[in-house]
Amino acid sequence: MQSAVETSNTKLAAAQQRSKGMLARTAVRLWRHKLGKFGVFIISGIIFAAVLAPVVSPHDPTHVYYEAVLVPPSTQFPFGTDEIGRCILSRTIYGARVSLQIVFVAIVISLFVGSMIGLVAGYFGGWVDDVLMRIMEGLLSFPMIVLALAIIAVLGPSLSNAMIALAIVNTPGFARLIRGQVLSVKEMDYVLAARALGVSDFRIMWRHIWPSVGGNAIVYASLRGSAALITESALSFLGLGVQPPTPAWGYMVAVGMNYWSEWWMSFFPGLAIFFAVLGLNFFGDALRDAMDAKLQDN
Amino acid sequence: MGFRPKVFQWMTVAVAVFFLAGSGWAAGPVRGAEFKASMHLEPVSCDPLFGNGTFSDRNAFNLFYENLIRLTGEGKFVPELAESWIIAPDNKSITFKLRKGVVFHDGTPFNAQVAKWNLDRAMDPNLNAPHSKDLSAVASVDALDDDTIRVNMVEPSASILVMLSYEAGSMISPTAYQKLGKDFGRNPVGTGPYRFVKWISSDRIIGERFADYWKMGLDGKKLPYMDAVTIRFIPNTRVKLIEVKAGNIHMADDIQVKDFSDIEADPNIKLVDRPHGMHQFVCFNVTKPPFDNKDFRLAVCHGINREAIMKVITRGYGAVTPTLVPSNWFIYTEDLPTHTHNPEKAKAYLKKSGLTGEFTCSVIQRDPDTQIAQLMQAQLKEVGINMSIEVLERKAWVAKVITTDRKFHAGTLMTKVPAPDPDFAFGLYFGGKGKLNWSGVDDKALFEAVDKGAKVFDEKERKKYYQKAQEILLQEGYYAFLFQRPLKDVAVKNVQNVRRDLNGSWCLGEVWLE
Amino acid sequence: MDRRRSGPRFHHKSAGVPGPASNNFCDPTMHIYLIRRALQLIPTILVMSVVVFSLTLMLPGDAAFTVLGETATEQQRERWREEMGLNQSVPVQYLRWFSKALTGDLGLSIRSREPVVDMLAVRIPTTVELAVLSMLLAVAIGIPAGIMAAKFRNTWVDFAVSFLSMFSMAIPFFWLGVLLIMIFSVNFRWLPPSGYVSLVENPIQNFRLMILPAMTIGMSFAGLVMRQTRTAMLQILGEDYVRTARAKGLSELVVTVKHALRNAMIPITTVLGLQVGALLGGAVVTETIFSIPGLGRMIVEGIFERDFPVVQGAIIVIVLFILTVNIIVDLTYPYLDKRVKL
Repeated sequence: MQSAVETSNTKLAAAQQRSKGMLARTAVRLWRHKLGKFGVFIISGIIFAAVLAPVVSPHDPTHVYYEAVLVPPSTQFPFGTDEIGRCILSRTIYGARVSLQIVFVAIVISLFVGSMIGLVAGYFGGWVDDVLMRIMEGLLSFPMIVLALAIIAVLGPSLSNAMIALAIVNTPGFARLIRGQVLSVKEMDYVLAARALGVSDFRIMWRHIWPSVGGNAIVYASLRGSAALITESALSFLGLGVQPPTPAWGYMVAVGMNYWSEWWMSFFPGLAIFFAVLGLNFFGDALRDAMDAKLQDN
Repeated sequence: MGFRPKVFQWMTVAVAVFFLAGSGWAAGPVRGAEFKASMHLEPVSCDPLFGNGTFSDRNAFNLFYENLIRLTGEGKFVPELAESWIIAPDNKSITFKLRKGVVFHDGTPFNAQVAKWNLDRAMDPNLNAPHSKDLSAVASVDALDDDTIRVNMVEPSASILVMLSYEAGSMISPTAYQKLGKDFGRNPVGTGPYRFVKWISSDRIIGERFADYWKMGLDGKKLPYMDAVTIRFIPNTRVKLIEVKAGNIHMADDIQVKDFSDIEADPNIKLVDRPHGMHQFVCFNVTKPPFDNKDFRLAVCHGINREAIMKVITRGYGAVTPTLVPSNWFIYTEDLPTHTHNPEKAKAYLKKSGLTGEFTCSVIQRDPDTQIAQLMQAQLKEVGINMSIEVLERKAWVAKVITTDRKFHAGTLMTKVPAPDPDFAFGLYFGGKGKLNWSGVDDKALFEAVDKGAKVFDEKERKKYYQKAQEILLQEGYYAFLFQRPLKDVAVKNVQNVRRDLNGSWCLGEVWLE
Repeated sequence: MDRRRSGPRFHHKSAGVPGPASNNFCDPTMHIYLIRRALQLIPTILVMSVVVFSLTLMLPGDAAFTVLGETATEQQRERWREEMGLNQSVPVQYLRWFSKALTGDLGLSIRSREPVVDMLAVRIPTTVELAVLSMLLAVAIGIPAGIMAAKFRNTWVDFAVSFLSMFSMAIPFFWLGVLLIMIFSVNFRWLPPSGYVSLVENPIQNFRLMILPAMTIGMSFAGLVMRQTRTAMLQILGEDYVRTARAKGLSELVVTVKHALRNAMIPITTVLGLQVGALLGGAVVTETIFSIPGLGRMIVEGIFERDFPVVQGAIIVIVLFILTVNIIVDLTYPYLDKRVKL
């Protein structure tokens, strides 16, 4: 008994077979995989740069070159210098550390907490479900940035508070997704059997339900990663990110906004954000395609 | 008639044309049109008693309100709603002769009773208004007859005239205030050249020409020349500059130094000097470690390279002075133990202090504070002091630094200098009853010097006292004075006759566009 | 911006509310359904108002410093706080605010003493205009591109569209805004960089001022719309009824637009509806960049100024709006696909 979704997926596959040109078809498949590979490539590159920042950067990101204030891109400073004479390339490389840290930790936390909430709500149903989902829906009805902004304004801008704010903001999405998944899985035979056997609720959630839904959570996590990154840079754009002189991409774009003839100040950090988001998106897509392929195989 | 009369006629015409052409159309003010300006900060309220501490709200207030006297940008007191005044020989009272025939925008006549009512209102503690304390030296006000009032003081105060020329002495219409109550702040009614029309929050405030204004223009008709004035609130530097270049605004305040050369290169716009500049400095919280340690304070003061910071931030337009006193202030002196940039001395002081050399500098999220802090940090690292920066948005910073339990180590500040009176700067920051003494300095000798400087009228005497105060400040290292940066406005070339108060606020009653 | 999955979708059933008997608006069960959905909003809004209220009160510092200035004494500030009722306990303050809000009185701005309702009345249309323009732009670019990609699947058209969509979804919108300003306002001086003139006052100027902000949000959004349209169209174009329509001899255009697109609108609308929150989030930052006096900037400034009534009022409006959009999106399903029942 296939669901409507699965039926259409099969139909899609069939339709794909009939598409004109084997070459075109192969190209599309390669394109999809290629994008995924490209995404992994970009992400690894950024992680590499972040981890090996001291080695890869041409200069110390906080070193002030008094004679080289607001210098355009040159051999000595490939991305130019900022308003107090620091190398923008080096700052962009170090900025990767901030962004990656914040996004990674925040997503992991929200994945964890959100999934737990979703599992509990979906599994137990009833008023537990109602209450939890009301709260989650309420949080979800907020624009992410506003909620994160308010949280950081309360806690004070810092690396850890940015992580906390982003984690809080992303949790409801996971909760709702997992809950929906749990709702469909919990009526499955093996779950019903386990319950009949008297297995504890916790074990059921952990052993039987989670493995089925976990995959979706991971895919969702990779998709949220890029949204989280944009939110984090928007927050540091508004000045609510890490403290100076630690470089943060969004903040650098904001500062550069006032130096409009010195375009390199905004351009390169923004470009970095762009590539990071692109990489995460490609990666997430490839992951999701892989999951869908598995679904088709089933 | 023959040749001669005709030649004579032609000659007359030629001479007339010559004179007309020579004097040009700029011979007199041009009437009509709307003047558009922009200011950095929107006022919270147009009730003058609730004007902000930096007096920048006066850009808007000066459209609608006037005072008994005005302190011009040249540092002179000129008559406004008062035609003349006499200071009593014992310096404890001033008698003002008021101008006749002045009316408010709502038709209420201005007279001594109204003036007294205004000053009484200003001194009323129940209003809880920030500017009430400006008149703390005033004991009472008497209306001697319809156009004479006398201000009686508690004790002689050198700055009382200044106070009366600012917010606390601005005259509002009693009828309007009684009718509107607290809403008066959104509907100003005064005697000024423009009548209030509309105030759109976060956007602009609009005034139209007040036909019954008392002052006459150069062309013999009533001021103002302009039909209306719109002041927009644009905090963003880039935006206001673009608007001025495009001609959508005729004048804008608070232009950043980095744009000076760009403006000077543009033939359509010009830089307009302000009577003062801004001094950037750092205050240390001397009530708690590490800055309760004098050696540590001096280590930081000598570890900072003020010249270098000044060069980067002001691109050479600024200056480094011993303390916050700029060179164009009458109390300026260089005969002081200035903090020089001396890494060796700094390291020695650090060692002597016995501290590890760590502190946090709390900075408001704004230019140039954030840049200054980063530069300071880089410099202090070289002498072994680890400064970490904490950038906070303004409210959070204020809560941290200004509240009485002083949770901070050091903070960046700025203040306008020269102030209309030295007591404004010294009294507020370094005086015994100083409202802005966030450092928590408790130094009797310093308080005494500042106090005496406020009471004495003779400029030479005052200079001596303020020199003493500066000496103490530098020796004890209570503050790290950084540099002066110039404040300029930008205007379209054809803007004429912008008058200013000494604090830099515009008086647009006599402005015209060529 | 928030990218949602474009794969198998989950029609999220409003938990616990049974659908109406038919999709007819006149049907009383439809009325009951609507009322039930509306009632469901209430607990959510309550929760949110409590959360926001507590958050804003937890912010360090208060508006005393703005209103009274930084040179005021602590005594004066305390008196002012007394007057404003800020010294009462949180629940008391909340109840006071809430009871007034129920009557439509959202209080006065602490900073400017303007009624919050008046401030909202001026700012909401501005943000709505920005959101609508951005959405229109995104849809105008995204839907045709998505359709083309689906129709010419696996050709260079498809390739280009996919590429463009990925590109536009990855661009940080605030970076795009800054770049647009640098290019169009500063460099070419074609467009003014800021401010706002209402549509009623001066439509042309208003449009000129809104182009760049709308592009900033809209272009990032267009990519998402492109993708969604493509996926949905691909799905639909393979369906039986489409083949039937073709077999009947209907022209390709009619098939595409009338039948396929109509049904594809469901997932597209779902996604668009869910994205309203992201759109408003984008508006918040964009309004700051372009100095537009809208709802987003009202919130940001309110938070920075510790102006609680302003923040409360604005947040409630936004939450209400987003939740209402969700309901409307649900309601449009039956009209787009006769097979769907609420």
